[in-house]
Amino acid sequence: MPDPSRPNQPPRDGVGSPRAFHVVGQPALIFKGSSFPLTVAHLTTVDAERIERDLTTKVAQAPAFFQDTALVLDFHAIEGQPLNFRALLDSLRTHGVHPLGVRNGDASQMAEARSLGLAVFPPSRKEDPRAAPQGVRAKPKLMTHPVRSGQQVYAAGGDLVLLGMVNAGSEVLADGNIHCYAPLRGRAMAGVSGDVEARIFTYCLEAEFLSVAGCYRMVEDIRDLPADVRSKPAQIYLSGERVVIEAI
Amino acid sequence: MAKIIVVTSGKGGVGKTTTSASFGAGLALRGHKTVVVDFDIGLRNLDLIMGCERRVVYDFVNVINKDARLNQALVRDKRVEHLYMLPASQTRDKDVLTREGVDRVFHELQQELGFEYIVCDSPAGIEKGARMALYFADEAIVVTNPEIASVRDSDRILGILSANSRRAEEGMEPVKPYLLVTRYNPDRVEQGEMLSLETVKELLGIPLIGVIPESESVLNASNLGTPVILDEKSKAGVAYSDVVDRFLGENRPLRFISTERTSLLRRFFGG
Repeated sequence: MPDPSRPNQPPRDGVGSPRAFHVVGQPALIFKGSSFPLTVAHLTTVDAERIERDLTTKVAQAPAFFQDTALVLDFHAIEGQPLNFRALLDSLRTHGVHPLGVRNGDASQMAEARSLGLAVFPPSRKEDPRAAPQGVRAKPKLMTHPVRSGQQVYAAGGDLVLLGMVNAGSEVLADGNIHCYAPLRGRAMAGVSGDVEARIFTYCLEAEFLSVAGCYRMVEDIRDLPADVRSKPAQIYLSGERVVIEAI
Repeated sequence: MAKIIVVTSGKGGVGKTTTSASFGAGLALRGHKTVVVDFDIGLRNLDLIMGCERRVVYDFVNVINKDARLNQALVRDKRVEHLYMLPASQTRDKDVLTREGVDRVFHELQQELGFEYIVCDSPAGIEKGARMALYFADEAIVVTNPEIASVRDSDRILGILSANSRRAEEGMEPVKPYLLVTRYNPDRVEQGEMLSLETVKELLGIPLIGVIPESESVLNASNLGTPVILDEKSKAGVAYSDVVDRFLGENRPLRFISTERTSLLRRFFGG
């Protein structure tokens, strides 16, 4: 209780007071660069009803994936069209998805995004995600050393070629395909910007997690993998929404 | 130029300090002027394992802060000629280590005091102390127990060695890593209770420099404050001697990696 006779007296330091935890010389904010795999949702229509319907179906298919997923909205296909922005955000949030920002919209869409507190991401280099495989790609990223536990390698805009092994506890990501000429034991994500044609190829499949364009398959136990692909050459691709693992 | 070797592992309790003491003593026994530097600021142990805890006056931190000269802080080993150790501070915190400070001390050890080998005993973990211990390394001994958590942590450290060492930052030839498997028990491997040597090698993919068998003599030696390499009757001591010889380029076949029975048969058939 504050002392009424001394109204301007600040509360004393003690256990529980935030001051008790203040460390002299330590900055209040420590900024560190970091990169996160984000899901991008490409809007193909401004029809709120259709968006809501498709979203409900999607979330029902993989509720765990969408729970607390951070999302970037890509407006490329609906550029210049009138959009009920607020309704879209409400609909996403109702389904547990958190829209973080917008990219590839027209000037007024981007201005509205800002006013709604969303981040404005720079336009993507690719014209259309669906046309990406045919379009101009970045040079493949080549890794000659092993990718070890705790490391993350991302090939932006193209393929990732791995000559060393990818160890358990590491993560390899590519906008294009992933080619691994050694044991693949970590997490592999191809087509992370939404290229559904992307594939993962490996000489020795022992991965913990496989994903193509956001559709994924977890491998909790390596013995869950069929014998014809376990520790053998394999490719992983999408057939519709299904992640197919196939011997090569 | 002296060679800087870090003994590291990520995981705690796998045998880093035991290895640092024995490896350093082994190099000195072969006539090389060697210093073992304890980087475990605040939790120093190397002085106990090397049996010189009562002769520590100044420490690494005093030298970095210029409170003492390097010569005053170095502790000379009483049993092994050419062997010295630089103790960590027990009362300070790892944040007092700075790259400039460590660089200056290492430079002095090499240029003015003529050390041939600097063995850095890393603390566990991947925080500042461990990163500082490996930063200046030319070569690394990655101590690993034959169990999955230790292998995973060693892998993590190998990643840090290849990305965050001075050699990596300055675009020099990368740090040369060696795998040292400790606490190896062939009987338990046969029972399926431990990872086999082959599996550990396969998972980490770096050259093997030795295998130290699980042995009571290691604990006894630690309690006595004697590097186990000085116990020539113990298997662990002999295995550490082999490690030092291999490090210096000698060819020594692996020992104590199969169960007793097989090794007897092998002796008969000369395998």
